[in-house]
Amino acid sequence: MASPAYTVYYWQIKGRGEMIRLVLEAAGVAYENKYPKEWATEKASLPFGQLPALLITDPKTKQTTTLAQSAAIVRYLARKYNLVAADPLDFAVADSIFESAVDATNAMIKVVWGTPEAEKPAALEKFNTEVLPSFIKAHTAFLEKNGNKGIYVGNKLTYVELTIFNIINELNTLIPDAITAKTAPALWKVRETVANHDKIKAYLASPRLHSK
Amino acid sequence: MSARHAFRSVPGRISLTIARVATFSTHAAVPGAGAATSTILAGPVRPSRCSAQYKLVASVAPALSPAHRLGPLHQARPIANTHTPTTIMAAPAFTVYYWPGKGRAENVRLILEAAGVLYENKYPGDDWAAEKPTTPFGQLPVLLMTDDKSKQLMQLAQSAAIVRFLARKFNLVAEDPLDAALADSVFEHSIEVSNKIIRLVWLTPKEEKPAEIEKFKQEVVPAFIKAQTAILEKNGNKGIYAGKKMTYVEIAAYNTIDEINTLIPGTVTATTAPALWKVHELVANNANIKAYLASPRRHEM
Repeated sequence: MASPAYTVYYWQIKGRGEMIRLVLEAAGVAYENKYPKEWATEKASLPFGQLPALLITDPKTKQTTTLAQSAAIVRYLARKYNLVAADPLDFAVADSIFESAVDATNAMIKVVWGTPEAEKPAALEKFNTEVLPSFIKAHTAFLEKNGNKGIYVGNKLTYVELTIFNIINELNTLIPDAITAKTAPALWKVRETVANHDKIKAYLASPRLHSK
Repeated sequence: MSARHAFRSVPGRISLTIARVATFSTHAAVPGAGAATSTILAGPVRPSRCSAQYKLVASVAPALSPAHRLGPLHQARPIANTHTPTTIMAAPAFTVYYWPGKGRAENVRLILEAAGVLYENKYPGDDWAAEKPTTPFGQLPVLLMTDDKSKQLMQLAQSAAIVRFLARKFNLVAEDPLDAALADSVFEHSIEVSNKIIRLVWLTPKEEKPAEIEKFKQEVVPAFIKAQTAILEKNGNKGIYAGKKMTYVEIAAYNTIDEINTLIPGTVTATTAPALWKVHELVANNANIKAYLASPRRHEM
């Protein structure tokens, strides 16, 4: 059966669209980007009035399905293209790590976008002294339990490593040197493992990568 | 299945694991020795009759890495048990470890109840500060269960990951992957709304609450109803988001509807949101859920 056509419908940034793009890139699956032009009208046509969305066009029927919610999109593509742990319990443990990454992303978004300017320094400090160390500690424990090889569960790269790669980049943008080989070596290995994956390496060097 | 209904969610119950052993011989507990080790019984145990197949054991905390170390979690504690001794025919395979309330654990309990699966509740005690670092992310809920492969007790954290794991295990997911994904996106949406409610109820200063509740009513609720109604209508308006059967997604939506109506009574009804109300009714009338809702196992808040 021919491959569906995928369009990642999101703003012209990495943001919450990037982990979708990373999964498609790692799977070697072609996709297009679509950016909103008239957001007010387009918003109303989306399932939850939000982006990202994944437009999936069936090659035979030409029907397009719109799938919303970045996490649901990522899990769908990951399962379809075998970027998941095979064992259900391994999958669940990895999934819980994904959820904790979502928590950390949301905490970061709150600091950057949801805090009044005057309160930002204090919010950032709180993030730096509470959220970040806790994140590093929990993730390091999982990674060390799995042999400290940059993979959380089992032996293969999955959507979880791709997601963590993305969040490490975001964290380091918000707080320079938040995650480095020195401050969080086990997590840094995840970053390196993903960055050196042949398809991701090509993606990162390509014009498909959004700069922000 | 009568043994299942004999279980009560009593705070301070012993959290015991019953290991199925082939014989009645006892061996010294050896970490990692496999399923057939029986171990030390610590503390008073309520009288019980075990079938020949099961032996009552209390697990000594296995030697796991810090992320999964259980510490004092699974040591038997003395029970103040005023209930009649129950017959233990089968042990709960799952323990839902959470505060004595619905909160982020209720979806987990609803899935287990819908699946007709035995479980226990465990509540943090005075030693929560000490137990907290032994959980994977320092948070509850956590699902305690035995890893089939290693036979070790393990913890699964993050309510959504727990729900998805149990849903797949007990076939409470849509069959077609794209249907499952569409439904999964609805689950994400329902959880977003539930998270807003949790923040409102537990994290909003008292004086700001009335305004926040009003804002929730005027903005979040209509959007929730509209988005989910569209999806339900597209699937034939039968109380199911995608595919043909009740899944974890309908269960979570039921829970969110219930939370909304607890916060602001009469908000989601057959009149105000007929398509959503069908989801509510589908879940509430499921035989196992119906029994649960009428049982003392249900937490009030």
